[in-house]
Amino acid sequence: MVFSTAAFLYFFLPLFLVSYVLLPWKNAVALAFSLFFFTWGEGAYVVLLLLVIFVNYLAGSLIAQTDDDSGRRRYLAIGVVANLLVLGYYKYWGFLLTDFFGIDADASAIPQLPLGISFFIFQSISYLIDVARREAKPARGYFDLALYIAMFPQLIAGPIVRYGSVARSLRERSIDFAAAFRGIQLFVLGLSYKVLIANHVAEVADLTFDANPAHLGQTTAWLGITAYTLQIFFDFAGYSLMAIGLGRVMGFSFPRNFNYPYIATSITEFWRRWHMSLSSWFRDYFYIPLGGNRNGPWRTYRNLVLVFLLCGLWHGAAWTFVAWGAYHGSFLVLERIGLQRLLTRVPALVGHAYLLLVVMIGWVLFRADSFAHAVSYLKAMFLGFDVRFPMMPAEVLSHENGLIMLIGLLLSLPLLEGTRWRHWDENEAGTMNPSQIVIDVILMVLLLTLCSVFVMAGTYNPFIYFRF
Amino acid sequence: MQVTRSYRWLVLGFSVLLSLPLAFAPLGDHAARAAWEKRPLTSIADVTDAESADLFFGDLESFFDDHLFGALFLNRAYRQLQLDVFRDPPP
Repeated sequence: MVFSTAAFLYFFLPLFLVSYVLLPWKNAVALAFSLFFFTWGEGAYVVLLLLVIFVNYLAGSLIAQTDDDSGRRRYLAIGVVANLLVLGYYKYWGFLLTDFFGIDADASAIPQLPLGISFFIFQSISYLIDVARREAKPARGYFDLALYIAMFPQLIAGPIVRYGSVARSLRERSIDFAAAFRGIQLFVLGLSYKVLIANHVAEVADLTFDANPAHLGQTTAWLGITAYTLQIFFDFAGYSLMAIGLGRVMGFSFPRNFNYPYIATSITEFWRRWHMSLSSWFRDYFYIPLGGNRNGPWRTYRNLVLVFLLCGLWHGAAWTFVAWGAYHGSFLVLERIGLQRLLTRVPALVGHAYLLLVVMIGWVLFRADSFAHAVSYLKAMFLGFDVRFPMMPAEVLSHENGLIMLIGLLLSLPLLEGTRWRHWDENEAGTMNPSQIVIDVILMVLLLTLCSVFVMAGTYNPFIYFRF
Repeated sequence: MQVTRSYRWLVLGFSVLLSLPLAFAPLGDHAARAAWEKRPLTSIADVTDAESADLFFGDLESFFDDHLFGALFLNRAYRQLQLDVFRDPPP
């Protein structure tokens, strides 16, 4: 089930919230609704989810009960391998057969990808490693771990939550008006990002990427990738905000996932602002154990490239994603070698231009169906094709979507900082004076009504990150 | 879990607001919507006929989409806005 559908907004969510507020045993209510949420979209795969939770519960308990290091490492290895096998089979089996080994596999031999598998498997692995490192205590019961892994706001598209950060809240939490109000505000803001901005700019991106790049004018090609750059940010940041908001309403504090990534001036800074829960996952559970930057520059460069190759593969089982990861890893290495120092000496505007250019070229790889498509699209952007009547911007950009792209461009900047509206910013804690509450309620109702117009109009509604 | 009374009222109020389009669905003029959109609206999914859970829920989602209260009014207003304000042709 997608957060921005009528079924979720007008049926599932109110039913859940009423039950959560009125019934005792909040955790049981949250878990039951989370499993219902997963079953709604994924049917029998809920059994797989429960099995993954059981295996991790068992492995976590064994790790915690074992005193000697080698025994703990053995159980940890078994648990991690079990998780990776599940991920490998459901996400990469088809890729391995067809793209890697070149086998012409029957479609029935390739399993359907369960929604959010990359997220709940990564969350499970982080739980096992944290327990093994004694950074988190093991779950006190199967249902605690089940709620941590399956909690519906963050189940299928993150943010990736660490067990230690919610363990206490799973057992004991208190919620007040201010926390819930802020949670609702973040949810409405996230929904607006998704429905009002991402879905509209997606129409522009799809029209250009679905066209033959050889028929695109240069301006149209740039317009298409600009639209996609906005789409992927508002789509994913919107979903994260909705998840964080619902978490707050339920009494949980999920980590912030985006911090205006497009204002960065280097790729290094970009990855500190983009999908922060994934970046920190790779840093803590892969980059640092590999040696991080502790063993000289060459090892550091190797580790960076390895991390980003995996990061690319995590995003999708296709060579274009691997190339996208390698591309970002290469720029991180270049910045380590000296480019970063150079960027600090030039005006910030040059740094912003560099970042946007590198990221947008990367998004071409990310969005294209194949390498050939990506290369043709990049050619349309930088060199142009010799075509008599190229596809013009007016053919892909309606007036309405043009206005929304402009609003999207503005909202991707931290413009609210320092204004009286700064509490609408994801990063701010929020103020609670009565007049502000009234204004905020009016704004929220207006935004919800606007979102409803587009939800009811049944407009375009894909969540990009669901396929991960 | 400790919750305050004001929290309860806030969340209940938000839930009521969200549930309005479905709660008032029986009052909607669905025949008029079907006529305006020139297509039959999805009928309610039958759980006994469903081949799988995800197919059943998919049909149920389509039923909800087609029977929301106010959808016809909002759709019309939006199309009018596209024409009158943005001067965009219908998709």
